[in-house]
Parts: sequence; C-alpha cells; structure tokens
Amino acid sequence: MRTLLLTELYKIGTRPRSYIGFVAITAIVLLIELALWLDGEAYIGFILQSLEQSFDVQGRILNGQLVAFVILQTLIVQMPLLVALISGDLISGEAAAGTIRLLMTRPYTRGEVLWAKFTAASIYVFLLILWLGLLALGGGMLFFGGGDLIVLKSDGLIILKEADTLWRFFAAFGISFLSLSVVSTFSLMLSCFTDNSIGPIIASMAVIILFTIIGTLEVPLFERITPFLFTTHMIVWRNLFDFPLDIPLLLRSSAVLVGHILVFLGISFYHFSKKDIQH
Amino acid sequence: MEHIISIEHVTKSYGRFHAVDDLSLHIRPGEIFGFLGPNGAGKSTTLRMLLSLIQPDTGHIRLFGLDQRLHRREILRRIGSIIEKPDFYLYLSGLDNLRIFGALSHTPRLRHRIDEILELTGLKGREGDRVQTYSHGMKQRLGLAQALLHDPELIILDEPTTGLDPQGIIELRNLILYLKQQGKTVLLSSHILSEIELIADSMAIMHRGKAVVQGRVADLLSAQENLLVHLETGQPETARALLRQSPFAHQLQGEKDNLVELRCHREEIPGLIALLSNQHIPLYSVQATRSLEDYFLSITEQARYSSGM
Amino acid sequence: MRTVLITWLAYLSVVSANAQGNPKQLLQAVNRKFAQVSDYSANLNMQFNIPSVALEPVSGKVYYKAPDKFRIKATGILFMPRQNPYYTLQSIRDTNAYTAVFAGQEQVGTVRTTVINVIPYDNAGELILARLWIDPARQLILKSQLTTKTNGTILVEQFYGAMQQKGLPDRIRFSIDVARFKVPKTVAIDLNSKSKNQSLPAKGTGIIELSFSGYTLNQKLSDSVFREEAQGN
Repeated sequence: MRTLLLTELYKIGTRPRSYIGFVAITAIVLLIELALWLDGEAYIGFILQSLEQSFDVQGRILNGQLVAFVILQTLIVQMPLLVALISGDLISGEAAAGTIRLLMTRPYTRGEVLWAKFTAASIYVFLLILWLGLLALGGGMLFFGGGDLIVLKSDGLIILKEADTLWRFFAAFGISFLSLSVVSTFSLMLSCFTDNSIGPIIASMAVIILFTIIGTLEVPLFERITPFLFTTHMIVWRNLFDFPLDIPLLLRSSAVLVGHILVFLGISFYHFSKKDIQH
Repeated sequence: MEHIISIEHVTKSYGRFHAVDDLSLHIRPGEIFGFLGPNGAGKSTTLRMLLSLIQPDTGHIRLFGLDQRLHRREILRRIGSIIEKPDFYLYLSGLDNLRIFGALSHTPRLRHRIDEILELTGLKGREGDRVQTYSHGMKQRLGLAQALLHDPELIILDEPTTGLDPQGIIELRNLILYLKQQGKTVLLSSHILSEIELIADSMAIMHRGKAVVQGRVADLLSAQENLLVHLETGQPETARALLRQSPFAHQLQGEKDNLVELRCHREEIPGLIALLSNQHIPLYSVQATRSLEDYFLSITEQARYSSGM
Repeated sequence: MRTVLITWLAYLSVVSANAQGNPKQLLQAVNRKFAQVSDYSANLNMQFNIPSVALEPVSGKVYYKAPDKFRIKATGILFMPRQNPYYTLQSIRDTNAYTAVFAGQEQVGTVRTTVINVIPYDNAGELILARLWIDPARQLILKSQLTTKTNGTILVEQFYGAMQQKGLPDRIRFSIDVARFKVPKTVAIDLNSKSKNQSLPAKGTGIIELSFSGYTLNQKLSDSVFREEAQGN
C-alpha cells in the first residue's frame, strides 16, 4: 500500500497540471494582498461608514487576520475547481490514457488502488490548503501585521480578539480541508464512472455551482433540500468566526461533510470493484 | 502443476452479445500458447479476464492452481502482460515508467533489473527520454520491458508484434523463444498466423466467443481434413485436364510452376495418386502440407457455416 | 430659533433663579472640583453593547491631561464615542462662552439633581445644546445629554465612587443612537449564510461603558503620551 500511495503521489507531483492550483492560489492571494495594500483603507471606510457616523473606530483594522479572512472568502469558488482538476482525473484520466490497464494488472486489489488514489488526492488537498494558509495568514501577518479580526456580515460586524483568531483560522482550514475532501471524493467518484478525462471535472463544477445557486435562492421548495446539499455545509467554516460559536451547527455540518465523503467513497469502491476495464 | 491456466466454462456477455461463450481452455506450464481468432472473436476479452480486468459472468478461472477470485494479488505478482497497445505515462520518461511499474510489481533490486531489461529489449540509451517522444516500436519494447521487469512466470502478450518492423518481429520471436528456454509460459495472441505457426507449442482458435479448436500445433497441422496437396508431375497440363474431368475437379487450386495444387482429405490421396498413375502421368512427388493460415481460415469459415451464417 | 430659545430659557431662569441661585455658579463649582486634577492615568475596562456589532470587552490604560488631552491605549479594535468623556467639562469650563439656565430638578437614582441647560454663544461650534443633571451637594455631573452638529445626540452617565472628591468617575456610560448597519451580501460575501447571530440586533442605541480603576493623579504626564503612534497602538 505504501508503494502504491507513493507512486500515486509521484504521478501527481510530476504532472504539470498539479501545479495549476498552487500557481492560481499564489496569484490570487498576491493580487488580493496587493489590492488591500493599495486600497484596503478605502474598503474598510466603505464598510464602516454607517458606524463611523456615530463612533470613532480605533485600532489596526486592516491587518493580517482580515486579509486572510478576505482571501479565504474569495477563494470559495476557485478552490473546488482546482481540486476537481486533479481528483476528477485520477481514474478516468488513466482510463483515457490506457495506463489503467497496466496499473490494474499489478498485484493490488481494486480497493487498494482506489484507496491510494483517494489518499493521494487528500494529501494534495491538504497541501493546497497548507499553501493557502501560509500565503494568506502568514503573508498577511508579514505584510499587514496582526490585530483583531473584523468579521463582516451583511447585517453586522463581529470583532474577534487577536489571540482568539489563530485557532479559529486553523479550525477553518480544517473544515475547508473537509469541504474540499468532499469535492475531491465526489469528482473521484464521477471519475470511476467514465473513461473521459474532462467529464468528471466539468460535472463536479456544474454540480457545485448548481447546488450553490439552489442554496442561495430563498425559495421555500429549495429550502427543504438545502440542508442535504454538501455545498450548504462547505461554507460552515465562516461560522467559526461567529461570536458566540454555534458548536452544534459546526458539529452537524462536519458530520454531514464526513457523511458525504463516506457515501461518495462507498459508491466509488462499489462501482470500481465491479467495473470492467475495457480501455 | 498440470495446467498453469485453467479456464472452465467461462462466459462473458454484454447484453445479448456473448463476447466469450462457455469457454474452456487449459494451458500447460512452460509452453508457448498461441491464441488466434478474427476480430471480435473474444481473445482480448479472455485475456482481460485472466488479468482480472474483466469479471466473467459465469465459470471459473484458475492460474497457478489458484482461484483467481481469491488469490488475485498472488496471481498478478507472477504475471507480466501487454494488453492492446502499451500505454504509459507520456509525461514521464521510460525509466520513470519502469520504476513505477517495477515498484508496484515488488521487483527486487529494481535498478539493476531495469538495466538488464533495457538491454534485453534494446531500449538502452533512450530510457531517459519522455515516452511522448518514443516511436510506436519503442513503446512496444517498453511494454515488453514492463511485462518482464519482475521476472514473471507467465507472460501474456496481446498482439505484441503490432507496429514492429520485420527486424523487430524477429527479435521479439527470439525473445519469446528465449523466455521459453528460461522456463516461462507465454500466452500469445496474434493476427500474424505465421508467427504462431513458427513458435507456438499449443494453440486455440476463437470464433464468436468459443474456442472452435485447441490443441498442439503439430497435431493440428497434421489433422485429417482439408490438406493442401502439391503434386510434382512431368505433365502438369495433362494432369490438370484429367483432374478437371474427375471428382477432384472442384478441389483444384491455382497453378504454380510444375506443381498441381489441390485440396483434399488425407484419405483421398491414394485415390488421387491412383487416378494419375492409371493415366500414366508421371508423379515425381506428392506433398501434403497444412499451413496454419489455411487451417485458421478453414476452421473459422467452417464455424461460420455451422452457426448458420 | 436660537434667539427665541434663549429668551424663553432666560425668562425661566429668572423665575427659578430666586429659588436656586445662578446656574453658572453651580457649573463653576463643578469646574473647581475637577480642576484639582491636572492629569491622571488609570486602568480602563471598556464594555460594548452596540447594535450590529459584537465586540468583547477591551482593557487598557487611559491618560488625561488638562485641559483637553485624553488618550486610551489598548490593543485591538475598539469603538469610542466621537466625543471624549470630558467633552462636557471642557464645554463648561469657560463660563463666558455660553448661557446656562435652570431646567428644574429630577431624580437620578437616589439623588435629587439640578438640571441645567447650556447653550453656547458660538454658532459655529460643534455643541448645540448640553443638558446637565448635576448633584448640587457634591458638585458632580451625574448625567449629560449633548446635542452636536455632526454626531447627533449622545447621553453620558457618570457613576462615582472613591474618587468623587476629585470629580473623577468610576464608570462612564455613553448611549449613542446607531443607524442600521447594512452591507450588500456580495461585499460581505455572506452567501448561503443561515446562522443568524442572535447577539446582533439591527439598530437602536449603542452603549459604551468605561470603567476606571487605579487612578494615579498629577504625575506631570508628558505630551508625548498623548501623541498618536503608528496605527495599532
């Protein structure tokens, strides 16, 4: 199993496509940091204009924590695509290339091969998030310094003490890892059903966008199904920056995400173990 | 172990189409087994089932005396294969590909073994190049290399000469014979029947999912039916005219120098000789031979007729 | 309008002056009491209850130097009223700059206070009207309602303890009207958010409460203490 996992990681690591995610994240993060460096005060002024009529808001508002928070929010759409780009190709890409034949004639069970691919994809997701964290939080703290975090909601502000933010960010990264693992497992599952490399990637993104739209529309019919959509729970990391913490919500959403991973994995294992490898 | 491969009443269907239809096949260890059949006969499906790429609907497959469903890992550890054209990770070098597949096959002393195999397959010097830059022939060699890397006991080759030049075909043939000398078993499917004829010990011909014939090549070639008889005679025109008037008329084949060619059953040969001798047509030699191609064509044609086509 | 107001209040003041004396005398007494303090430093704890804002208490240090230097040093983000806590006292320091009229008596807690309205003469100034509830016995301002040009009306309540002899409060509570806070969801990127934070009422009165302790008086604080540092304290 170790050899299998290492070879999967090696294949991912030597593929140019794998670095698209890291490059994209770097570019986006640096862009946002530059934009905030140049125009961050104006952005904050816009946000606080109604409150600044009545109060004098003091303290370092534009700081690394705020920058990291803005970056995390902005990347909410891009990250799933970057993950699906790799996970969606793990089985179907090998089928399309024909290497699946050589791989499946090695002395491993189908389950072991799939498990190794899932684990390799999870490690990739972890590294993506780690990179994001380093750039967003680390880079933000380096360029903007630390301070209290203003969490902007459409109907209010939550201000979290600086000492109270770091663990929240780590927990947010943890939940983001869980969320992106759902995307990874979902696209891996789709990858098991087709021999086309691009199909699972596009299908994954289409489903995520569709579910996100359903979750955004405040239509009574949709509101009945949104609790079951994984996209509804993918953004629960924002609730880690609530005050007070809604722990039952966080636990519930985490359980839903884990449940989705298990279901998608189960379907993947079942189908892949029975699948005839024709190509 | 009596049989290295035992296929018992295996069927694989796709809807109403039977890709493999109640196939039973046995292959002895240490021999070269030829697997013949026209396109769509079920050869590739059978090979894929041996390698667990496809699950049979019914029947049992045993390799090395082990049930394939229960001992998949152990079995695959002892098999090397090329199925269809060999596909590799094009963005990696030949060496990297061999490292990956060699490691996955638990090849001991991998680096040393890779060097040996590169020499054996004639890829030395190009292993560092990306597979994307390889010619088709080089990819075939690389395919063979990955199949042999872990020193398997059984080698399954699905049309390995496809895309090879004549020199490459000769080298491959010699390699297969060498493997046999090393005690390996080689299961070889091919459309190039002359290759099978030259090197195979046993063979089976598939048609519409069934093995219509299987047995030792030597035995099959000397079988009763439908031999190609070459008569060397001093009066070929007279002999042909006589034969056209005889019951052998429809069995006459083309002309070839002074040889009269016709097809007949083995038991008809004495009657043929008597006919010509009675008319004082001198016969210098009678050669009854069976090329595998003729056999293959006739068998499949017969099978097509017997199935009502 | 201002002239009418002054005239009417002046009339009232004549009526009530016989019973209560000159309002400016009371204000001067308040000034004298506070003038004992040329500067101080103290520990500060701030609590916030502002609509649309969830902010935990902040601790820090506060510095004051007469006549008008005031600085809070604390880490983190904090919301302060636009007027410093001594704006009222600063406003009444120069008794020639305003007119003061008695506006009756009211109970503030257990204290019967004298209510005085202060109207600056300077139309260009920030302050329009100050209404003060003063404890005449202790010469302390218990409550003040300030109406300003740019910052609307703000209510300041002061609570005294050990330092009342110097006119220094233990607590000051600011009550400020807060407009409805609203930012487009796309700016907040607050999509799909289902968790409505219960501690964020939409609009209403924002309350900031400053608690002082550990006063250290008249240390001849340097002006550098009151200089703005680089953002972030």
